[in-house]
Amino acid sequence: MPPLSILLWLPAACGLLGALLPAGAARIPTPATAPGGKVRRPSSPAGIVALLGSLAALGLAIAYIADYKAGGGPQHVTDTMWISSLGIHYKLAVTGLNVILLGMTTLLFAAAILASNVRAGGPPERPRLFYFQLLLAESAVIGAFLAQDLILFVAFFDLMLIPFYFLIGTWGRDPEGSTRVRATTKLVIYTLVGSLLMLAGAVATGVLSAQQGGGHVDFAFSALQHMPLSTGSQEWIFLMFAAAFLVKMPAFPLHGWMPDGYRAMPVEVLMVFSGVLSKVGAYGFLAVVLPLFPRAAVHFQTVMLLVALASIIYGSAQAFTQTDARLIAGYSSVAQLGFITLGIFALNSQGAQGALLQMVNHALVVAPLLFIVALLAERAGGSEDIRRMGGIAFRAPVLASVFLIVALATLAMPGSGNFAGEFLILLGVFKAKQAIAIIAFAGVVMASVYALRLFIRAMHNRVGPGVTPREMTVRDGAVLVPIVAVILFFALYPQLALKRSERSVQGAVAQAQVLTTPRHLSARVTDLDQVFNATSQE
Amino acid sequence: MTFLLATAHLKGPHVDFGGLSPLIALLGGAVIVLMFGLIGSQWVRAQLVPALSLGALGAALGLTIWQWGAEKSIVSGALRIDALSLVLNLVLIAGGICAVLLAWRSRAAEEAAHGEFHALLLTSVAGMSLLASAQNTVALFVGLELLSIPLYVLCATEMRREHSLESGLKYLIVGSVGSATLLYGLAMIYGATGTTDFSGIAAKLAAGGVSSDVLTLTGIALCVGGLCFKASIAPFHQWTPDVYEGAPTPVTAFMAVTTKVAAFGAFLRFFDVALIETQSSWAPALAALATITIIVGNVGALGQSSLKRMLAYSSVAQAGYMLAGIVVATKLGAQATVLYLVVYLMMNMAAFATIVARERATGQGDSIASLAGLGREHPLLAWPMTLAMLGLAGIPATAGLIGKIYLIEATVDGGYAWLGVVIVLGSMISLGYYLPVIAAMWMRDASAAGALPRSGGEGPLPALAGGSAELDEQEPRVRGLQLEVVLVAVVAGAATLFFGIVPQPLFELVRHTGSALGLL
Amino acid sequence: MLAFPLAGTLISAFGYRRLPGRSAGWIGTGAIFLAFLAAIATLISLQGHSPDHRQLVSSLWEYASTAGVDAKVSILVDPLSVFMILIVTGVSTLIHLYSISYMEGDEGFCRYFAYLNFFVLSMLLLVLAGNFFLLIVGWALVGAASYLLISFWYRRTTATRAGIKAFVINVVGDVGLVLGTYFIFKHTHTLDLLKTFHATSNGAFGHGRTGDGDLVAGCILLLVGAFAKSAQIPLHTWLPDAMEGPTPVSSLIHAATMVTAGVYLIARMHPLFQLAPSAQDVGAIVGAATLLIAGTIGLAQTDIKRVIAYSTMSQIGYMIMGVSIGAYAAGLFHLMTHAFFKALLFMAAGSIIGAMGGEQSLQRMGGFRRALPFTYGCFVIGGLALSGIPPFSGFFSKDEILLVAGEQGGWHWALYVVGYVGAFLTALYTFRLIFRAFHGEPVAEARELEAGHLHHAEHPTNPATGELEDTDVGFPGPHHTTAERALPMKVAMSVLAVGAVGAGLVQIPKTDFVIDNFLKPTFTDAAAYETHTRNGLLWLGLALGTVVGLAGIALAYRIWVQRPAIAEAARVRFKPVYELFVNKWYFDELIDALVIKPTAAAGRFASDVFERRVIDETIVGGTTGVVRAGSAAVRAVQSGFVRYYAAMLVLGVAGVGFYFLMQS
Repeated sequence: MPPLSILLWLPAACGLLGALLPAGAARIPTPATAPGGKVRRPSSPAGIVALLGSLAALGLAIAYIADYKAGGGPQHVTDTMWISSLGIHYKLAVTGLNVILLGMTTLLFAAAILASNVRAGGPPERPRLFYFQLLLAESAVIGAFLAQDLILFVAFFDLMLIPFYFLIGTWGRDPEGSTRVRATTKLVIYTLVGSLLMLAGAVATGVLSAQQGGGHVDFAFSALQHMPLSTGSQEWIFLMFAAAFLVKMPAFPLHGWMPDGYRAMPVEVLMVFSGVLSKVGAYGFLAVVLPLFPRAAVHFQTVMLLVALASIIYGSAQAFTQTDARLIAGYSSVAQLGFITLGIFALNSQGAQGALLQMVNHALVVAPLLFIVALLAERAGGSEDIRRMGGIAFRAPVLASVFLIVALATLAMPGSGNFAGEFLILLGVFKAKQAIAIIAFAGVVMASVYALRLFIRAMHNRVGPGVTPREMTVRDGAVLVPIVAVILFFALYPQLALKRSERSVQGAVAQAQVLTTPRHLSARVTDLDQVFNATSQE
Repeated sequence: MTFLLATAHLKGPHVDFGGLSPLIALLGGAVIVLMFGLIGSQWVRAQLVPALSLGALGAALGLTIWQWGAEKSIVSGALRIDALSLVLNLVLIAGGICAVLLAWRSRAAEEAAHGEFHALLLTSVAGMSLLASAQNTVALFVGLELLSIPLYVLCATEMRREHSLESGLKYLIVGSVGSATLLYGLAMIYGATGTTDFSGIAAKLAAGGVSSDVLTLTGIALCVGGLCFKASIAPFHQWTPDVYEGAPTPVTAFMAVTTKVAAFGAFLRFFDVALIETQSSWAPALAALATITIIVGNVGALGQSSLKRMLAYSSVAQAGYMLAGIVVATKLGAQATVLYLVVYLMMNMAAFATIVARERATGQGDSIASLAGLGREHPLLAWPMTLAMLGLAGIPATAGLIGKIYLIEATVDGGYAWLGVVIVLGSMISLGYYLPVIAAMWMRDASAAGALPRSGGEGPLPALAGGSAELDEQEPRVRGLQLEVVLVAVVAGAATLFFGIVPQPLFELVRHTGSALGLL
Repeated sequence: MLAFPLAGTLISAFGYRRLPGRSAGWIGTGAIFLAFLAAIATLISLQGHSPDHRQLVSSLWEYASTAGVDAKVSILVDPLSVFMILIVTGVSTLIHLYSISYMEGDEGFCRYFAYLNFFVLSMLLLVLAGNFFLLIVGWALVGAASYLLISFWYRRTTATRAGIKAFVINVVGDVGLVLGTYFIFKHTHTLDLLKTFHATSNGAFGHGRTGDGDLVAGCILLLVGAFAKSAQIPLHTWLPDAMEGPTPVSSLIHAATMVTAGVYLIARMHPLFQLAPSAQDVGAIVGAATLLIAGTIGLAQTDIKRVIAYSTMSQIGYMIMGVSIGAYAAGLFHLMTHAFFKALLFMAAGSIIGAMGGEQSLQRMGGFRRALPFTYGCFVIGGLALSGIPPFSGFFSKDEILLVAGEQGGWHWALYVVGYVGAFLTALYTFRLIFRAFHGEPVAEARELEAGHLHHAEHPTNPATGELEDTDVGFPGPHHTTAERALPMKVAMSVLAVGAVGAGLVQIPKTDFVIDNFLKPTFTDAAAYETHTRNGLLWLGLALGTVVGLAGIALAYRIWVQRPAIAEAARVRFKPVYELFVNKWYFDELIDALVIKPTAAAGRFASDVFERRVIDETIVGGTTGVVRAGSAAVRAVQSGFVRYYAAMLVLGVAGVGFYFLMQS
């Protein structure tokens, strides 16, 4: 297998290449006409390079998934010093925690880039810059997943927001009642607030653990795990990390940026933002917080579970009163990410496994959902208000079927991969805090209401005023069908993800799990060092 | 040390020309430039003089590098040549070079007849260099005055513009108060310890007895005030926005960076060497000042429509960050401060170069509106500005982040973790004014720029806004890009990016600056 | 076996444009018929095993096996599941056949068969599931298929609303099932059904004890699942609304198969329920309550399909009651006979509705006896079986349930009495239906049909809302006015009629015990499975059943044929009771007020008030406000006057100086 750096930097390199290509628009003087009758901008060479790059990354990611040996520790490790003076490594590895997420990330980015290439209006204006930013974002996200060094992780985590700032601010939409620049600034400040706090926390982690351990500062995860912090330090640092991750997800009540942000984003950007970026936060909890701050995780377990629960209930309640289709998707994400948080803070393997699976599943459903919303808006005279949609299933049976599959997966229909994830999550929580699991089920019921409501209002009932029902095009299908195929695949065989992640997930939650286990039960694993040794081999 | 002094007495005054050579180059350059400035030829004035200044700065640069690795006290122990002063010299000279380039075709230089302008600039750099290596209180004060007085004048070099004059005058008056404060402080410390030598003071304080003396403490307090004034630490920062805004932009660029470098050099040497024994009494005070500064600077910058004013507040905030490195009084802290100074140079120069270019091109002064549509029009300017803003905010892949990481590490390491958090909180607020700049460049169209008010919706038009409308109209607009300005912007921007990704050279650069503080 | 319906689904789904004419229908029917043959083959091979080895589990692949959770795709074949698949595939085949004619000409013909095949697939998955996980999957997929079919004519808002209601209530049931599973898994650490039962009998919930808290909670939650799917009170409100779907769908899903899943579930989980008697009591009481309440509502409804739907609820109440008191074989026996006669009744109703041009109101029907003789015959057979008149099938199965209840004595006598009251009501409303639809003066449509042509409404409207039907998608009405003419319909109805008449004969008291014996391997550990019948009670029950049924019919005849005025008088006289029945005991309103309204209000509060006031104004606005105020303050100090600056400088120095002097 090629070194991980290739996977990491390939998208950015392609973006740069595309940016350096001559603009393609000048060469094709007559614009073709889109099915909608609108003038279609010709596709740009930068877009094609971007597509090729993202597909290549997808191919590489699939190769890593196939190659990953379940039960092994970190694989394909790349480890060099980045800033030796600060003990910061450039350390990348494929682990059970990130291997599937890599596949998901590259898939969604490829789909988003394809979507931007094929959408009815043609590729965006100034395509070279657009694709450069999008691919830079992809590299940053991949970097955040691959990073095995705390500072490197934080750096990628913060970095990925910057391209999005440009993407939303420059190519965003100006929906009623808000301007994209303002929305973008709000979004970026909101999310960077957490990230910067996390930076302080990360630096403190390295310095304090070096002080306590008496060694040199070393930010590699593997090194930090060996030098656990005191409980007090863990707790305040935990809060900083939690702030960053919860904002990114977003979780109630830190979701203030979400409504404006979602409405302002161009759809292909939103697909990856909602699908992928939110998962980096959840991944951070699993890969960073639980192994490094197990005591704090245990200390704040109930708080985090309650936050997650509030997100579920609040997000769901919002999702079935909103009429903006995007916001329904947005608030449903709040609720779904709530489930994921819930699973992680069950602090046992079932919950964490479910959470990891659900991260992939949610990404796989929310991206096509948002794309479908855009397609619906095209048919409803540009409006994304579900009150102005309706009744197009008959003329668009394929779109309706795809939408139905996505909607059912969104509500975690048993038989979908999402259900497998949710089942494990709630089982984990049930073991940890029975009452919270039972209340969380309200979210499951509510999900069925809002997902079906969206589907019915858009597809069924009478044809809305100003709606022109028509089938989706082959181009749209090229975006949607592969993702739906993956959804169906995970519906039949979620074990693919679970098998690979099992060992790593156990390693990630092991310490916290031991701490939550009542003493008389943990007699078998009394020796914490044993656990530390076990996890450090991961 | 005593041995050195003893030998000096025996052999008579020994002048280490090697150690002094950068200073000599600068001052000599100043004289030559002043002379050439008297020549009537327009070409000599407008082209040769700046070139000569560059030559002087280049020579100083070369000599500084020549001295690399030296560890010695010169001029009877008044000055110290070591890694710290050499690195700071490097930064100062680089800042000087940028300033010369930016001023090359500026109205300020022209109105000051070129020669004077550049001579003052060089003198000021010399003063700063002196300050950065000063090792006794007298040299400290001399350096301070040598850097300040030319700057007062430089601020007023756009003689036909009211605000420029006002800026210079204001700086002069308030600056004098600051200098006087410092002078009193130094005098009191001398009174308490009986020596002007830093190591002497340190030894005296270490010996005990005087460290909690009223005289000493009052002296320290006054010194804090004086140095804080130079470094724009709140609440001694108030001159900063007005002066930065009123001064000609190249001068602003120059002073924004270099006065900070010099002041923090002095801070490092004075507090972390001479007063190290009293760290427990001044550190909390400085920490509090740093906090206030970070808050005031960041909060003040919000909603400013003048870029220079915004950057002035931003420089206040940045000074607060750097002060954190002084507070902890550790090797790590010193290195972090120096490293931050280096990246601060890059980021600010990139930003100011862009402002200079836009000022000359749009006639909208330094308003944020002047940047509208820049991303599409001149990516070569927009990218450096973008990187500068991201860097100042501390975003990854810019040197700014590295600087901040190092500072936070130093604070946590020194037991001031909360100060690290304050730095981060300040960075968050700072996004509120850095991001709109980026938004203006990339997310607005140039056509919309005209519609934008000269001043943002927030607050009244600043009373001291840079560039009066009539004069701007008279000045011919510059079409296209001026090479030297773009050069500064691109080099500084590229450096911001490069050292954000490959920061190790920066760490190598500053590695020994901490060890220069002998007692630490 | 699962492959056939799956293939049918896929072919119909992907071939919606290419399949000519009615071929999708034949493909769908054929697929299910093959599945039926496969079921028979399974039956034969199962019978080849010795009775002790008739529980076969085969795992196909690991599904979500991780961290101690053993979710596999595994299938359990035992007498119970074979019994169920035989019914499911058998009845389904007939209904598919019926549908070919009934749905002919509908715009969504292919879609219909794709959904229907999908339903059968899900149902088979449900009954064959070898572990809890797969059971839940099948359970929920059945609900989804049901949703799709209820909302089949999706341009009708009534249909989509009914669909979402059914779906959501089913999800509530799923949640109950999942939570119940958790409670059980907590102790048994396995999802596999047989292993769970094994662990349970080995004391996972405590040795020799009954009524462990978690077990009871788990079983009650399983019951919630069962109630939701089987439309038991209070989760029944979706079933009457589900009649918005095409009539064959009502026949298949909402009468014969899906709604009986709850019965199957309780029977399947009997080792757990045996140890949780209080959960069993809950099931029995709810079953009894449902059979009574649904019977009373059935008396007052005027929509022909809804009457049958309430009758279904009522009958399932019997079954739930039966399996809850341990009368497993009897409950399942009733399940089987009910499948025959209720499917038959629905098909017959579909025939009338076809003749009425989509009209379903009893008020407008009458005198179809001569116009639809075949349907009339079927309806009467179904009605007699439903009313429990010997020797029709319902007679034996219902009485057997009540017999067990009576035998157990104790408070189960109350169930016994309720059962017979219910039987009386059943006969009454069934024959009300028959008499009102087929007797009396023929209405215009009936006369038209007698004259040889079918009625067509000129502008079809939705009777519930009065809005014009959207003909793009299809709707109940002119498309489906085949009445009883088509051969496939007749074949299907005949077969079911034979079943309705004769199915009871497989298990005649004292004579043969086919069902009992066949199911025995599954229920070896069921305490109440074999009881020693007291002869007196047996004969009493049989006699009582007959008498009560005949009395109901007689009363119905008296009221609706002889003296229609009585009905009117009774309605006026017992107005409050009548109102209660017509309004379905106000369950819809209750749920609306208790669940839907508060939730919607909370949602609105969240978006209108909380989001704006707290999130936007307090959190976002507060933070930016503070920062902005700070900014203003800083600017206010920044006056531009040197004297203030100098003053500030002095003040600052004084402050710092003061601090330092404090130190000395």
